[in-house]
Amino acid sequence: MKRFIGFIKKEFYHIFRDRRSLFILFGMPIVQILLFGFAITNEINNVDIAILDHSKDATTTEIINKISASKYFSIKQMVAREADIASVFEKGHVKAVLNFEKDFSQNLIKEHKATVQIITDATDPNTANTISNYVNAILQQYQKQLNKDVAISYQIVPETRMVYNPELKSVYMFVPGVMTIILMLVSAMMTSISITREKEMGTMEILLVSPLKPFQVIVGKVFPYIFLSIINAVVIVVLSIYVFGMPVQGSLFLLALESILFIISALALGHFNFNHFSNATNRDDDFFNGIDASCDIVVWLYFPYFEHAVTASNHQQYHSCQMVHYHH
Amino acid sequence: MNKNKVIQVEGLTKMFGDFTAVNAITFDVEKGEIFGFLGANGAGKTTAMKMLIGISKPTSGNATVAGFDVYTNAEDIKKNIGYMSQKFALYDDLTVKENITFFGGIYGLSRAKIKEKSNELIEELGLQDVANQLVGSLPLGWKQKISFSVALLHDPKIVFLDEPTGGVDPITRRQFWEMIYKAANQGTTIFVTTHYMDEAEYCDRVSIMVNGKIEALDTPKKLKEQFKAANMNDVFLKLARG
Amino acid sequence: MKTILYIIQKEFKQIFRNKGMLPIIFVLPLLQLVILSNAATFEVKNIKFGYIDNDHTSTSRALIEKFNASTYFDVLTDFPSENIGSAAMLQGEVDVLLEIPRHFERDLQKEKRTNLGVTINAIDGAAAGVENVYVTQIVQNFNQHLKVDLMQISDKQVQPVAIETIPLFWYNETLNYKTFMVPGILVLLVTMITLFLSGMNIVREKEIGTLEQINVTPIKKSQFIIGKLFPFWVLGLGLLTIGLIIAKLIFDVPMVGSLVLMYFYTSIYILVVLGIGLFISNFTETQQQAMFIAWFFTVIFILMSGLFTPIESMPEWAQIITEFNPIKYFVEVMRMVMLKGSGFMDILPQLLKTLLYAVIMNGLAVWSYRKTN
Repeated sequence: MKRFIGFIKKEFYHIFRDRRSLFILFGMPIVQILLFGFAITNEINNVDIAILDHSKDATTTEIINKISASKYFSIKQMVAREADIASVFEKGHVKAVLNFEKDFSQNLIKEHKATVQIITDATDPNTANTISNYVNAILQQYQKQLNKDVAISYQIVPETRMVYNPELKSVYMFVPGVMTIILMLVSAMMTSISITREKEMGTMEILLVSPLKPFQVIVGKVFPYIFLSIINAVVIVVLSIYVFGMPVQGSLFLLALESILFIISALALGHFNFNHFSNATNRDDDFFNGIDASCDIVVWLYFPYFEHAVTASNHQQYHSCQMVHYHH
Repeated sequence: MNKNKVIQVEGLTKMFGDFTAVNAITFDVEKGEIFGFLGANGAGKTTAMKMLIGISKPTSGNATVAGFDVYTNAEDIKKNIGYMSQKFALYDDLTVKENITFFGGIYGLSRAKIKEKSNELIEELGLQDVANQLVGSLPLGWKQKISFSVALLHDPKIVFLDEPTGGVDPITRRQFWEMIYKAANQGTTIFVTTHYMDEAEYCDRVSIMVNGKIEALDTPKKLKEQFKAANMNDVFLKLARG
Repeated sequence: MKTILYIIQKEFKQIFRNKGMLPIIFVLPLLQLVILSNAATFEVKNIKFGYIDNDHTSTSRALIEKFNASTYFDVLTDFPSENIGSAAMLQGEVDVLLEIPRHFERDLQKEKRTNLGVTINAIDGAAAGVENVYVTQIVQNFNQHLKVDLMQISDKQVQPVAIETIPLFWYNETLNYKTFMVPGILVLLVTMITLFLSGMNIVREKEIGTLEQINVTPIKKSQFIIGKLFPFWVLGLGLLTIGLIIAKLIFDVPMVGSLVLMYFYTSIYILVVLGIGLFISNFTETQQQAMFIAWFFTVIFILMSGLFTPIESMPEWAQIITEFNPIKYFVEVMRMVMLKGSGFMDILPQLLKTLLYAVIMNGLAVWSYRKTN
C-alpha cells in the first residue's frame, strides 16, 4: 500500500511539473464555457439586410421603419436595381434583400394585396430560414394592424411553453458537451500519453519488474487522472451554475456518478489506444517510434472533431446526464 | 594568431542563472591533434563543446575556432567543423544513402561530390548491403560509424565528437578509434569528449574538467607522471575526488 | 536554393515513408467530411412530436393531421393524459407536445377563438426556437383555412388586405445544410492537419536531436524554414484538392466560383497556418506540448470563426476578436467563392488581411527561431 501511494505521488509530480499542459487542461474548459456563455449563440441579432424599394411610398416606408426598429435587423444599404442584388450578396455584406414591388400602397388599396420578396442568402440555410420567418412575422403583425377593422374569425392561439430552458440560452446546451470533451481529453489522452512516454523512456520496464502488481500499476497510473477529471468537471458545473445561472434540477449525486462512469470508460479508451498502437509496433526498436508518434497524431486529430460533433449536435453519451440535469 | 592553433579558448564561461556550468576555461588545440576533453557526467563538457560549435552563446570569455570568433562568426565556424552529438542524430526514417545525400546537400556539396563521397564511405565502412536500408534498422555500432563519417563528409578542419562511443561494445569502440586515427592522420583535428579512461590514452593530449573547471591538461603520459598514477583511470579518480 | 531542395526532398521522403501519414491524407478528410457534415448540423428535422387530444372532434383531428403531414414532425404518440406526456418528455421521447383542450371545436365555433397548449423541450434553445416557428406556421396555416371556410358561409364583410411574402432562397434553394457545412469543414481539414503536422514536425526534430545536428551546419535560417514548410504547404493544397473532390462526388456541393481563386486564396492562407505552427514549435520542447497548444488555439479559433454559429449573432466585443481570426476569413472566402461565385474583388478585403497575417506570423516565426541559444 505504501509503495502504491508512492507511485501515485510520482504520477502527480509528472502532471504538475508540465505547467504548460496543466494550464491548458484547466484553462480550456473555462475558456470554452465562457465563450459558449457569452459569445456563441445561434440566435439571430442585428442581421444586416438591404432594401430594394420599387414604390417608395408611405406603406413601404412604414414597413421599412418597422423592420429597422426591430432588434433582429439593421438596414445596411438600399439597392437600386434587381441586377445589383447578386453583387451585394457576393460581397457578403448583407444576408437578405427585401424587394417591394412597384405601386405597393396602391395595390394594397385596389387589389387588397401587395407582394414583397424576401430574398435570402441561403448559403447558411438556417439563418436564411430564420430571417425569412422573422421578416414574415413582422409583416404579419403589420397586416393585422391594417386589418384592425376587419373582423377576423376563427383563431387558434398557440400558447407555447419552453420547458427546462425558458430563455433558450445556448450555454445550457453546450455545458454537457464541453464537459464530455474535457473529461475525454484529460482521461483518454493524458493517460495514453503518459503510458506511451513511460514506455519510450524505458521506465515502464522498471515498473513491471518492481514488486507492484500490474493491477496496481494501472490503477496508480489512472488515479491521478480521475482526480484531475473530477476537478475539471466540478469547475465546469460550478461555472455554469454561478456564472450562467444554469438550473440544476436533478440530483448532483447522480450527475457525479454518471461523470465518474464516463471518466472510467474514457480512461479505458486511453489504455486501449496505447495498447492498440504499441502492440502493433516493436517498442524495442527506436525506428518504430516515429510511426507510433504518427498514430498518436491520428488520435489527437480526432478529438477536436469529436468535440464539434458533440457540441454541435446532441451527444448521445451524455444525453442521460443532461436529462438528470434539467429534469425532475 | 598562431596558424597551428585551430581552437583557442580563453576564460570561456557559461552561466545558467546562478549556476556556472563552465567556469573560465582556457586551452588551445593544435592542428591535427586528437584532443581528449574528459570529465565526469555533468562536469560541463557538453556545454563547453556547444559554445565552441556555435549553438550556445558564451556568457563571457573568448574563443576562436578555425580562426573564427564564436560570438560574431558562428556561421563561419559551422562551415569548417563537423559534429557528432551524444544522441544519435541521423534520420532513422531515411536510408543510409539518403542521410548522406541530405547532409552533403545542406553542407553545400555538389551532386557529383556527394555521389563520390557516399560511394567511398559505403565501401570503407562495408555498408554495401545495407546502403538502401533505413538507418533506424541498423545496430547502434553501425549508426555511430555512419554518424562519424557523415560528420567528416564535407572535409571539415575540426571534428567535435561528444561521447561518440557511448553504449557500444569494445570491438566496435576499437574500430571507431581506428577511424578517428585515420581522420587525424589526414590532418583533421579531433576534439573528443569521453568518460572511458582507456580511450583517453589514445589521445595526444587530454584535459580533465571537474565542476566546470579544467583541472589538468597535458599528454596522458605526463599526466600519469604528474599524478603518480599507473593509468588514466587513476588520474581521473584522483582529480575527481579532489 | 540548392540547399532548400535537399531539405524539401528529405521532408517529402519522411512524410510519405511514415505509415501514419496515409490515413491522415486520405482517410481523415473522408471521415471528417462525412461524419462532421452529418453530425454538425443545426438542421431541425424529424422532430419527435406527441399530442394529447382532450377534444376528439373532427377539428382537433384535422389539426393533428396537419402536423402529421408536415415533413418536420414525426408524429409519435397520442398520449392519454398530460402527466404521461410530460413523463415522456422527461425521458427524452418527445420534443414537442401539443395539448388540445376540451371543447376545442365548440369554443372555436362559439367564440371564434381558442387556446392550444404547446410545450417544447428547450434544452437546445436554438432547436426549440425553430420548432416553435414550425408549430406556429402550421397553426396559422390552419387558421387561414378556417377563415376561408368562414368567408363562404357568413356575411361578406370588408375584404381584409394581405401582404403576400415570397421567400426566395438564393444559392441554396432546397436549404440543404450540407451545402453550407461542407466548405466550412474543408477549412477545418486544411487548417488542422497542416497546423498540427507542421507544428509538430520541428519539435520532433528537437526531441530526436537532429535539429541540433542541423544547427551546427552552416545552413541559413531562412533556407531551413522554407525547406521545412514547403512540403506542408503542398500537403495543405493536396488536402484541399482531396476535400474538394469528396465534396463534389459525395455531397454534390455546388462549385459556382473559380477554382483558381480558391487555390490562390488557400495557398496564402496555408502560409498563415504554417507560420503559426512554426511559431508554436519554437516555444515548445515536446510534441505533446506543441499539440496541446495548437489544439487550444484551434478550438478557440474554430468556435469564433462563424463555422458553426453566425458571427453576427455574437456580441460586439466578440465580433472584434473575430477580426483577428484567420480561420474566419478562410471560412468566409470558401463559402463565398464556392457557393456564391464571389470574384477576386469581392474577397479582396479578406485576401489582404490574410496576406498581412501571413507576413506577420512568418516574420515572428523566423525571428523567434534560434540556431544559437
